[in-house]
Amino acid sequence: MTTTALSGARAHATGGAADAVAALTESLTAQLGTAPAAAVFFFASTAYAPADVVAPIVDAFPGAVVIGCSTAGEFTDRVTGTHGISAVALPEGLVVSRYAALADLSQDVAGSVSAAVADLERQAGRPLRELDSQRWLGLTLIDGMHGAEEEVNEQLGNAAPLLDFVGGSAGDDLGFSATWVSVGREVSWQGAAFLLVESGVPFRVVKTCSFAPAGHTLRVTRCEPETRTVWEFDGRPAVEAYAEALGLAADAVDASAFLAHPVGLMVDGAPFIRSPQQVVEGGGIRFYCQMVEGMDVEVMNAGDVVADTATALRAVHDDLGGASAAIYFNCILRRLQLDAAAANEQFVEALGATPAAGFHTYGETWLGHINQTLTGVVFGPR
Amino acid sequence: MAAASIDEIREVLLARLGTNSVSLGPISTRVLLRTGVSLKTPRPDQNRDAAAITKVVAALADMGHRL
Repeated sequence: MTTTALSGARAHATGGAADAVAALTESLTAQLGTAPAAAVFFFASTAYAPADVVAPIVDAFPGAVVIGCSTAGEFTDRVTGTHGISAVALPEGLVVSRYAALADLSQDVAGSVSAAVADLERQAGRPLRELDSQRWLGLTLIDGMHGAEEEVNEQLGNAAPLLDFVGGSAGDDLGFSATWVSVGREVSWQGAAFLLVESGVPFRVVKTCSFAPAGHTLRVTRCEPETRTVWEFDGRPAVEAYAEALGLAADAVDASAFLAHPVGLMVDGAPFIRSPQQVVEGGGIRFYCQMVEGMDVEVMNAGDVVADTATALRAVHDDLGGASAAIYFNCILRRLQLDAAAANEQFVEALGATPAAGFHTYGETWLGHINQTLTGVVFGPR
Repeated sequence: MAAASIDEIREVLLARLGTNSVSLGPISTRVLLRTGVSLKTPRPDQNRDAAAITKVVAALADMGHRL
């Protein structure tokens, strides 16, 4: 018996909606050849109205589950840009089973995610917590504007604490106004898209960032998780304690300090990054992630995004003995670092030659909500 | 059960996970993200702290692990 090598397909397109979608879907279809698509992920700039892209992409892949979202930039392993569409298609065989559900986060986040989980369980025919986490994987695209990522992740963790859910928060080209996600033809402007995949090949979840502890631990002593605000570190106004750790005056803390020195919750020696957003009146700092009282975080020093990304992905590639497809979720703050360093092309090169697509996010998902990180999944060879 | 320490909670959980003890990793990470308490390597000031123990027990219960 011979085994046919299966690879994912990826594409990127720009221009008018009709032409871009046509170019995108034709490229994906051509790369897949005779293998029908099982799952398609697409990531579109808010330059495109979802009405102009969602249904045409869904219609191009009958039989596939299609999920998508708006972005703050799109990329593949070949190209990166803004105001375009990127996509990756996984063929039958690479994906054995796939089920999708959409949660409306505008009212009851916990209830809506629970209902979506129940929908996935109905489709899969068993509870998510019974699925083999070596074969099954969850992918999530979450609204990026309403701060519900932590609650979404908690509900997913409650339903299946051992299952990897990896993904990102939708963006809107730095407009910070509204983002959308889609499942099939359904679009939500305040929702979460979930795709449950049974992989036909080994896979690895990727989580990489480019920060090292600076040697200053801060303990959260007063905070407001619902607004992602830390009021006090070590019993002092948060901005004062943070500034002192950096050797700065409190009034010298600015966006560049925040970008280069987020804080990290250390897990087995690796940081789960929480990025500062702004100083708030009263001496607090608002972050892009929740923290809770009693939590210790390390002040971080920025490293080399490109080199660290390349190293992390090479290690995954080597571990799997090759790769057939990948989906990546890269933080918008990392994109801004790459923009500032004019290193976007080098970032694409760091992704290697694995057929891959992704987007620049307003937050990343793996076990919880993270910032300034690249998360993703790499599928091994078959 | 009324746990006296985070260490005790971890040992009970490990015993229940049995051969699936590798599962402690994602569970511990989820607990840490939610509570600020490390189940794997609790800080000395949190290990026997009643509030920390209560938070960890509640987080584990939410994930279906009632001790």
